[in-house]
Amino acid sequence: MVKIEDPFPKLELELRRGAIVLAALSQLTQAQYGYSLRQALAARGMEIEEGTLYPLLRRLEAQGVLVSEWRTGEGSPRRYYQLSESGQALYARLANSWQALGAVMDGLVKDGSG
Amino acid sequence: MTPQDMIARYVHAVTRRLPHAQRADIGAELRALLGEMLQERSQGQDPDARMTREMLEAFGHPDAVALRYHTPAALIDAQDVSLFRRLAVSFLAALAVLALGVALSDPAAQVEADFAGRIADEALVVGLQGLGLLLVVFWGVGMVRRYGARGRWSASALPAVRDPDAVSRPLAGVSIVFWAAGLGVLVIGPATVMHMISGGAAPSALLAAFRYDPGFAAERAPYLWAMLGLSIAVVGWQAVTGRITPLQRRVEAGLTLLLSAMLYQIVLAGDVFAAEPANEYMKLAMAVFAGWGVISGVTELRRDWQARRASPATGMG
Repeated sequence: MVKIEDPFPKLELELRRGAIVLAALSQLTQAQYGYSLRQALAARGMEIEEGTLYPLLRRLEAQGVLVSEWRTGEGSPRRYYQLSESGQALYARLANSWQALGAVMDGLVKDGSG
Repeated sequence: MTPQDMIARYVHAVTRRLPHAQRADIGAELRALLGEMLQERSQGQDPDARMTREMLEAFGHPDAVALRYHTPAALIDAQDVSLFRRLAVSFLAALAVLALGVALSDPAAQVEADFAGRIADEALVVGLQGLGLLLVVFWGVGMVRRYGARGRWSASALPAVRDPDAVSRPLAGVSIVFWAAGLGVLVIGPATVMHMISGGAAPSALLAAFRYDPGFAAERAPYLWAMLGLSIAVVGWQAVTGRITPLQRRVEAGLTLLLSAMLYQIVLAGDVFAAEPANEYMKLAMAVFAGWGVISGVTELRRDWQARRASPATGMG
């Protein structure tokens, strides 16, 4: 008999994947380096794997959403990321979309819960 | 190995899969981040190798992490993989059938010690060259698609859906006439037909070249003609019904496999024509047709089996 894997972890991962970008952008109105960003998100209940978050920052920078710079002020050098000008506008639009989507999803989930 | 060595190896394993221009920058950032993660995990203690290994394993396989940083363009686009696979398999199958045909029909096989080995080597080289060429073509198509202008398309211009079971009666009629005429020539004998058509003026060397081997004419040919006649009759049956039914498909596939087995037996049993090179070319044609028949028959039976399994009436129980 074929053993069927519990689909929950994969589906939950898919669900979270869409939210990770917006979550990261929300914390980058001020400059953060990868590790501090992960901690800030974790403190708000949004745990993101390091192996996912750090490459995401590079990709967002390559897309012009973030700008970055190396800082060597205290301790070892760190790369700090922050929303670019176009990134700020993009974040505002994405946040509006997320809120609208959240309202729609609330209604749908309420329907589904009977 | 110290924790720093392990981190250095991990960073190297990730960055060596990245474009050269990004390696130093991403490597420095990754090294700094992993160092901070390790500090946090060790909570003021000196981090040990086990702790470092667990942290790196949780971070992810270097290949997967490198892919998250940089996803290179595929050599074959995902949408082309199915077509590539079909073309590659068809090409290799055709090559195998041809190589087997040559090995069975070439008179050199009787005198050359390692004839089969030479044919296999040549087929391997041609196969690799063909696959390489196919890969280059698909890579080029992907490049054009990525960097060139994406063609406009219209839903109304998509090709019509073809019914694979529909039988074109005019086409079936033409093919029956064609195959029946061919069978007639084979039954009467190509040499006799040439003699009749030329009014007795055909050169005797030509007639001798196309005279059947007596053993073939007496022992094997009647069964072959009967099998070919049956195959033509099945085409006629399909033309009458207008659609190929599952039963007809199975009968056709079974007959094709039987015909292929018979052709291979004829090729192995002896000569077809009394003279070379007509005999060699005829045996090659027979072997190639038999190989095609085996592939075609097995493919059809497999499709039929899959269709029956997927059928809502039988598949879901």
